[in-house]
Amino acid sequence: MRTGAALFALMLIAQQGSTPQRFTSGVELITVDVLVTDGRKPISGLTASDFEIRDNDVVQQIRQLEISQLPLDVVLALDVSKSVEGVRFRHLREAAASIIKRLRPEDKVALATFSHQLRLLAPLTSDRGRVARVLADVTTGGETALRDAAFASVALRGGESSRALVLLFTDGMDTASFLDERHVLEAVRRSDVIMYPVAVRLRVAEPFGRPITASTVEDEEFLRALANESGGRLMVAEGDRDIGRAFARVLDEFNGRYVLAYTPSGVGKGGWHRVGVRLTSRKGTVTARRGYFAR
Amino acid sequence: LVILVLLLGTVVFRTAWPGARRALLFLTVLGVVLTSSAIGQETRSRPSYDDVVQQYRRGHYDDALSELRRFPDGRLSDEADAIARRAMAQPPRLELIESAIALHTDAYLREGKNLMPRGLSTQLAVARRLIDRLRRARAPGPFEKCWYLLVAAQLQALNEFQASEEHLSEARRLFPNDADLLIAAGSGREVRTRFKRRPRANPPVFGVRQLETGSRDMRDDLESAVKSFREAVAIAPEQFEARLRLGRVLYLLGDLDGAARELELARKTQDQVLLYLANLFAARVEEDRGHRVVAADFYVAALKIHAVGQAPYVGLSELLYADAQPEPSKQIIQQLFDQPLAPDPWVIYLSGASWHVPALLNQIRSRVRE
Repeated sequence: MRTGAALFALMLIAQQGSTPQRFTSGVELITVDVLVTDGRKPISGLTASDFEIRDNDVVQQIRQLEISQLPLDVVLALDVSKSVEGVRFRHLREAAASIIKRLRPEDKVALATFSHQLRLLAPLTSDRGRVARVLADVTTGGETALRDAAFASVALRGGESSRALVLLFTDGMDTASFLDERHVLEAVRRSDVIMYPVAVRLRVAEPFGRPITASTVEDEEFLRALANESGGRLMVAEGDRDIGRAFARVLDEFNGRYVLAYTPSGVGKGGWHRVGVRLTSRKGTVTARRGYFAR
Repeated sequence: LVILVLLLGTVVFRTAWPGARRALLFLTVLGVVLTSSAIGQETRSRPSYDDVVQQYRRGHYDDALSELRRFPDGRLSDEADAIARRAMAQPPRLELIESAIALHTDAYLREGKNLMPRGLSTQLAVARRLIDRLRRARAPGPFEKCWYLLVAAQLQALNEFQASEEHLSEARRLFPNDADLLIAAGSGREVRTRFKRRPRANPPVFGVRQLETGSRDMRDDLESAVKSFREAVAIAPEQFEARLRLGRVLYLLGDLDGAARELELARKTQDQVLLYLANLFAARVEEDRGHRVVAADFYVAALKIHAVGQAPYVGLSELLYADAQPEPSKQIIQQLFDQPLAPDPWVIYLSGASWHVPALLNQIRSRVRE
């Protein structure tokens, strides 16, 4: 029965009743994925001693994990609604294909597309050839359910321990989502997924062909919030031809991040933990998730 | 083409050798004769406008619409005026005007999103012209109401909300206490709030998307929608679509108790699509009220009605995620991805009154059918 899983879910919720939140990101060892930039470019060569992490305002003892030893799960969530079709879609497909090629053998990639319908065309796999083949058959059309797609990308994560990157491409405003921003951002906040939304800057004209007056990124506020809540960054492609460069920038930046880890001490166990990361030895802009939920 | 050939001929005639001049003169005359002959042939083989209208009345919709396309746009108004004059003669045959209106409106619907620019449809203009004639000839009745609803609904499908509203305002002056018109007006206000900025419906021209500038006050739209739906349920308390939409709009405005009350009434409907949607919206309301078990129950009820709907899967997964259960949440999303692709009534709901276009078109067609 198709509704079997739903009924199972209902049972789980009923069992939970009003017990406290038990979301966990591995309370024993908390990992924080950190990006440090000089305002524009990532700063490399930092060590754990260059950072200070506070968990609910309590300074923690941290260590640095070697990025090259951590497998990576990448979810490519691509907007294939009607507005993407044509040249933009060709650039998008090329950009996605080049990202897939650049992944390491131990990394996994999944391909999801969305219009008003969400589709998982390839679940997480290290078979990059298969994902590339599926990508070649993707077609466009329909409305845009951006928020639902953002949530589904996060929900797909489950409880794995690898680093998780969601590269969410869109060119248009949401016109068909069931979920609202508040619920999606709350889910992102609870997750350890790092979201890099990639949007295309559109030229905006007054009606009836008057001169171009401005350019815009649709749903910019929401995309920026997704990035901020997850510790990622919004990448803006300055036109269709720039989509490939924007995708490449995401992977470069993601590979230039630091993964810091600590076992929380001196703080309560349950609920929301606010995490603050700062540099101790030099100046730079630090981007990281804002906290985690603990059992 | 003829003008172009003549111009080219004149230019070359002034500059070329005498022999070439004679050849050009001959070619020009030949071109004019052939073009005129082709135009004459086309006109002779085309059925008369009256025949096309009769074809439509007999239910040969595709044939009639295909023949109608052979008429130059510039002729359509004259033909429509002529049939209106004949229909007004004694004894009046107003069904001929109704048929012509149905024909042109049907043609307008088929233009769909391909019309450039979308607001300027000759077919719609001719239908409007005929409706005005009909209004002068008799008191407006069910045919006129159905036509206004159909056109307003189609305009909503094309995201032409302002034009839709203008049609509905005109209709409401003719039918002041009509629940259907109120629901259509409210639906337009409700669904246009999904656009943060109001898009012009035109497709991109040379890669430049045309947008109406500035943000709109969505709250004003939602409050206006509430007013329309409340008036509609005051006139027709058993209007479940009005209850459903009222419930959703109240939820969007943050009135959770009011939304829950209206959705409870909406769930008394026998219509399975409305019931599915009422369950979906009730789930959202209950989640925000902190009743997660009840919310999950509503999602499951929605899935029992429409097992391949995307919205209940997404909603249930989100509910589990918010309940700190990422693994079950993931399972539900994976279940969604295992479903065959099928249209979710939720997306159709979002298109406002355009949801009713097929039914309204059938009504109009049945009315004029011989």
